[in-house]
Amino acid sequence: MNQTLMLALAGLAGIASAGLYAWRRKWIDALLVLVAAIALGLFAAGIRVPGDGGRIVALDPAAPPPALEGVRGFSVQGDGLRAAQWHDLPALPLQWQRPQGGAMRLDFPQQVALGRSFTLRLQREDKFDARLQLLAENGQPIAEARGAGDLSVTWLPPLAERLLLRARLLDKDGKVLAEGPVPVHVHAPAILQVQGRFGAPSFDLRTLNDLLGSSGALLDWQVVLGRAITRSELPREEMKEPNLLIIDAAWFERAAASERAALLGRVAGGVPLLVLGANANDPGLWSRTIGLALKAQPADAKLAGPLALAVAPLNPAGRVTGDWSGSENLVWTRSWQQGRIAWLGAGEWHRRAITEPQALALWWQDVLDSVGVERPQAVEWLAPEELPLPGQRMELCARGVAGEVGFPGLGLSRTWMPHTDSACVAVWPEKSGWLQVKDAKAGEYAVYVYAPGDWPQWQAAQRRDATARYMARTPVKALDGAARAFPAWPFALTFMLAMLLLWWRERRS
Amino acid sequence: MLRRALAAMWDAEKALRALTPKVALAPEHKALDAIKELQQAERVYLHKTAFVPPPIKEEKRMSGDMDGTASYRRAQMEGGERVPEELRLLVQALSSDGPLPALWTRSAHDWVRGSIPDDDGRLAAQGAIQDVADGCAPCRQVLRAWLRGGAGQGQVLLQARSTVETPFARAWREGGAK
Repeated sequence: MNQTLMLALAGLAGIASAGLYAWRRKWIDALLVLVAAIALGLFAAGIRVPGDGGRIVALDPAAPPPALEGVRGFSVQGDGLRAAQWHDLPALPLQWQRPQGGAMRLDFPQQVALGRSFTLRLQREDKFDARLQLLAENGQPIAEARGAGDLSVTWLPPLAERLLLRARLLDKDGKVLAEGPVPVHVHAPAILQVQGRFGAPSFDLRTLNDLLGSSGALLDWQVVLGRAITRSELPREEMKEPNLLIIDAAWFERAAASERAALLGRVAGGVPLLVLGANANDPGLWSRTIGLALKAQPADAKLAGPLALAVAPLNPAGRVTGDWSGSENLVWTRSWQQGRIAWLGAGEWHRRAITEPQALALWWQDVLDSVGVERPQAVEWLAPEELPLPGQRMELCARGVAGEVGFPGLGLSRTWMPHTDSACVAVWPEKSGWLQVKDAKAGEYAVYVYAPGDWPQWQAAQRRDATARYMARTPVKALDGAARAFPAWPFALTFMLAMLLLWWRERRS
Repeated sequence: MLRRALAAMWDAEKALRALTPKVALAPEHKALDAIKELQQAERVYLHKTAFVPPPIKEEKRMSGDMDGTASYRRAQMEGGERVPEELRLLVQALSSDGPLPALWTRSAHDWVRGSIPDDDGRLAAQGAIQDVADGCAPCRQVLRAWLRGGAGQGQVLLQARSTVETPFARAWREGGAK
């Protein structure tokens, strides 16, 4: 029955009965009826009073939370709980004091392509002098950095393989402050397939050709040497789908309109185009064809940075001009329907080819990344958001997967649960080490499960972050407004006593 | 660079005349490094002289006599491998518990001898080879690290960025393009 209706009925019955007793001048009985009716009404209304409703449960990070019946909030000591543990709890106010100091965070890619640098960054709250070492499996240091505050080490892996490196942080006396595993997958690089068309030979072109060739790229290269003389280089194997077009400004300026239209048509279809702008000569043409407003640059201008490359004679006037936006390494880009066009406003890089070959290659890789040279792949594994630990729930996510995924080490098979831009599965690893994953589409993969004692300071930082995130969901202020149920039994007792007294008085009369 | 090599060779000569070949070793290595660097450089730059050539006139460019000249084409050269194929296969095999390639100890010993200059390191690597040959499974990772260490730092390889085209990413891009 509706609560309001019940209250109305109780009120009506009480008033009618009290009226009848009053009409017979039985004032005490009328009063008893009124008391009984009011008590019944309050019993049925289920009165709630503002203030302290329910109880606060102290959470133990090591043990699962107890029953949550009547719980109005949590309290936790120390670093708090892991994100996976918080996800299993309802959003309730949390009482927690964030500990200060003693935490550190590590940041490194779990997967890196061969030929790209692997960088391990360590962010710490303590700011004294320390040394960070990256160690191979034989304990030999392969990279080292020292200093106060945050530290980072960089290493170029020479082979594509799955590695379990170690990192350690030492103080200035050589005492180990922290040490733990660093799992990395070094996979094969996404080979470039480059079509180059150039209107004039130069040392820069030769250097670029060498850089690309030694990187294993497939090259279809044509350089106009004279009026009817061309030097061509054919790819060493069939180039199915070029993923980068490179031209120099001279080629574009001398090309026929139909050739330019055909090139821009290919770019519109999705192939990125890089224009080497060092030998540009006709600003009007660039403005008309691709909307690039060029301005003469001061002579002997140099690119800021360790390479100090020469700035091209003609470059866009500012970082952002029209549809074009520039970056620090003198690359301006714009989208062109499905593709992109990039203008490289630097030159004379061949002067760095012998003295600083690695810095030059890294600069060129930055340029290619700015251009947006991409190779589509079917699947991408995502790194777990927090350290996977044995016995703790781990969420494994990937892009481009669907259907079933198997965990041979656990004898488990799970179905990918689709998220916004990825799909995830949850598993509880049993032991530390590599956990094998088998997916029909993605093939074999392994995710590293850390031991409970690995990187305690990093685990502490992750717990603190997860706890702070949970705490932000429901502020403690919400506790003030939490209502609690007023006990109903006094009303029931009053009603019963009033009715018994009335019954006794009726019997006596 | 030549001057550096020459100075280092004179230092070595000085030590050799004093019959202290151990002391001579460090400058000899220094000189060798400089010579190798010079040898591998395809082009050596010298400071330019006072002559500054005038800029080329575009209308005159490519207007010369072309008798006897012709276009040419060539196939792309194969990129050189810094780490031999057999060693890569061996490192790959060492990362699992499976069988190792035939004659792997010989190729491992050859690689260690040629690529680890430090005596202690070479001895430790040879010890790891023996341990693995004796059937020690955990030593495989150690040997892998020694073999990898012999290859030194890797080389920067210009490459594309791998991307996965998900329906969300496609919708995002097409929405942004509108």
